[in-house]
Amino acid sequence: MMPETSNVRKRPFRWHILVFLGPAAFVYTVIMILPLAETLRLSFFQVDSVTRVVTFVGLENYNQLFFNVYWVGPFTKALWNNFLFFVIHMLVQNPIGVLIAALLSMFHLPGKKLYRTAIFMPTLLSFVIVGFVWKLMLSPLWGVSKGMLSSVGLGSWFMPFLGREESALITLALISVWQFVGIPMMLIYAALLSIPEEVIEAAECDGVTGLAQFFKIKLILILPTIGIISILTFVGNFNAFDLVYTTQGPLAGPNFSTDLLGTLLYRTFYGQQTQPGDPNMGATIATMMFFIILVGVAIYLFFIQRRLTRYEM
Amino acid sequence: MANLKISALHKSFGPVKVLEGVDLDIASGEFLVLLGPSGCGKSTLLRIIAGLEDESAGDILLDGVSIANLPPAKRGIAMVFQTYALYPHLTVRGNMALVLKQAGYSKAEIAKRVAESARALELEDLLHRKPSELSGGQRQRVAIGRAIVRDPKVFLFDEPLSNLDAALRGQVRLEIARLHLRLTATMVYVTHDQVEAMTLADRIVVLNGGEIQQIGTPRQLYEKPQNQFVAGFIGSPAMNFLPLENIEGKTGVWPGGARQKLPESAPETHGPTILGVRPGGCDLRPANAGKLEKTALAGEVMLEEYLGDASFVHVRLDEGANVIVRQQTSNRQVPGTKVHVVLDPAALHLFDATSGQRLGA
Ligand SMILES: Nc1ncnc2c1ncn2[C@@H]1O[C@H](COP(=O)(O)OP(=O)(O)O)[C@@H](O)[C@H]1O
Ligand SMILES: [Mg+2]
Repeated sequence: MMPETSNVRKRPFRWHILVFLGPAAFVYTVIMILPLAETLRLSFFQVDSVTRVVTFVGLENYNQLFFNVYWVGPFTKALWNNFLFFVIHMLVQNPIGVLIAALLSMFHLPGKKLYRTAIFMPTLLSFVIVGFVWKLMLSPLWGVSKGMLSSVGLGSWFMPFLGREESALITLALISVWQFVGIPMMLIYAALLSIPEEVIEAAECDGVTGLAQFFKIKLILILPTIGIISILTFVGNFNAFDLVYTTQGPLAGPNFSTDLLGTLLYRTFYGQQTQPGDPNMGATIATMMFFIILVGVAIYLFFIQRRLTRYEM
Repeated sequence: MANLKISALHKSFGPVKVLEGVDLDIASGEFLVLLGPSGCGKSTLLRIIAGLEDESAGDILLDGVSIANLPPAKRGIAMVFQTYALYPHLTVRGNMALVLKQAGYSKAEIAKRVAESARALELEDLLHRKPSELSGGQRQRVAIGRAIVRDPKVFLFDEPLSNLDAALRGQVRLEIARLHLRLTATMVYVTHDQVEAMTLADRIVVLNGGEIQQIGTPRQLYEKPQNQFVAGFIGSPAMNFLPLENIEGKTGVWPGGARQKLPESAPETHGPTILGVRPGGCDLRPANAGKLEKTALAGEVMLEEYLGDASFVHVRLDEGANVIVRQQTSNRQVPGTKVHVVLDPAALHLFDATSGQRLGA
């Protein structure tokens, strides 16, 4: 039983809590919450192009985005492209990351650290450099890719990968995979190393070796890490912008075939040759991006992550 | 049931020699304990037998057939690890069944064997649980269950009790002893704990620095340690060691010139000698019993450890050495008291001062 007096006695106000939380709360508010709120607010207004009068229009901008043919086409196309971009990462980047990590953790490979560093290195490079380098390599005029394909007898496979509507988006996705495959590799590698040595040895004694060992034991134990990687990939891909911008320009050519939500937002907000800048519609698209990511993350947290048990090892 | 023979086994990790020529002949159904301090190569030896580590040289024969080149699963040997090493994502049943599934047994056979092992280890109520839902003792029983389902010829245990608390340790130790009686299987058990070794073993192999120091029954090791290392390692508290100048006419000469009566088996004469005596082989006399001066060791009581049924008195000798003496608890010793330590000649062990080898029978 609590003695009565302790309820009556007044606790001194605990200032230190405010003092310690203050700086973080301030920084987070200024760089995250305020811009978000401001973006949301912008999306409810419209500016008259002639009189510059600002009027509150409620959900009219969203109505335009979803139902006006001028907006709905580019928006759904960017959304679809973004979805493809994400699927390619999930199907190519993450399995390759798992594969490399598995190989690195399995063998006493000479130069293992070198491979690890080399594969991780592109992650540290700026998008501008990556985009520029790949653009040069793939260039039909002076790029090395044509010569390299020819030298192994595959010259006929060469095409202007970044210049054709059918292949540009896939090529960009693969460039991005090349750049970021080091991240899933590192995370999976760390997860594999955290599986206790003795569990693996017990498996050896039980005759669970090679591929069976990987699929029946290791893969199951690293599923939580694969889940985290998937959601990181999702957030990263739906925020992607830089690579398209640096290789294809803000018009996401050829003929908008590489347009992602990020580039659409950029063009809409700041304007391009083809259209005047419209911060309010830009904010509307940005808000939609935010909600798409929010929904995706929520689905992951509530439906997927709960099923991935993190085993005590 | 199988006998295991290890011959001239060497192992080095790069320049570090861990095992230097280990020979062992383990009889069918024997419970052999490998005992030694941490880092002496016990685990390495066990892992080589299991096939988890390659030997640098030497051979391992099971029933006369070399298994040195077989993968672990093909050796007919099961290993129980110190950390249990259960598969965290499988239930108790899954953990026990995996090895059988992998070996291609029929569903019915798997169910039968798992049920049998579970019954033997009283795991029946836990079969659907994951390892994280088990206590330490239960996990270790599952690890043992996983070893027995496959009905191996030889069981290997690597310090299976060291992650358990003291109460559980005693209990699981009994279970392992019972299991050995029931299965009459060949077992090799690694530990650094002499109590485990003494209570479980048919024979103990004392290892140190990658070499076998002595092989024998617990009684042989305790009563006739072949060298100073074994003498000091077996028994708790450890044997006291005191230097003798030499032995003349079956009598020991202390550095001060005093004489010490030695056992019948002592050599006639010998150079520098180490005299070993367990705490139970010493006794204390009050310092004023004057006529003892010539033969006994004078010292001062440092402290008394009271254990209930006996107490261990730590005495600092005037020459500087420390001696632990076992006393009846009724015979209380106050720190600071001047005393004499007297040694029972029959309880003395003699070792050569340079080689550390036992002198006499
Ligand atoms: N994989 C390894 N690489 C290098 N040295 C090792 C390796 N495994 C064990 N050792 C060394 O071998 C010696 C014996 O180890 P171990 O057999 O584990 O001792 P213990 O008797 O405590 O079980 C130790 O000195 C250890 O440092
Ligand atoms: Mg060990």
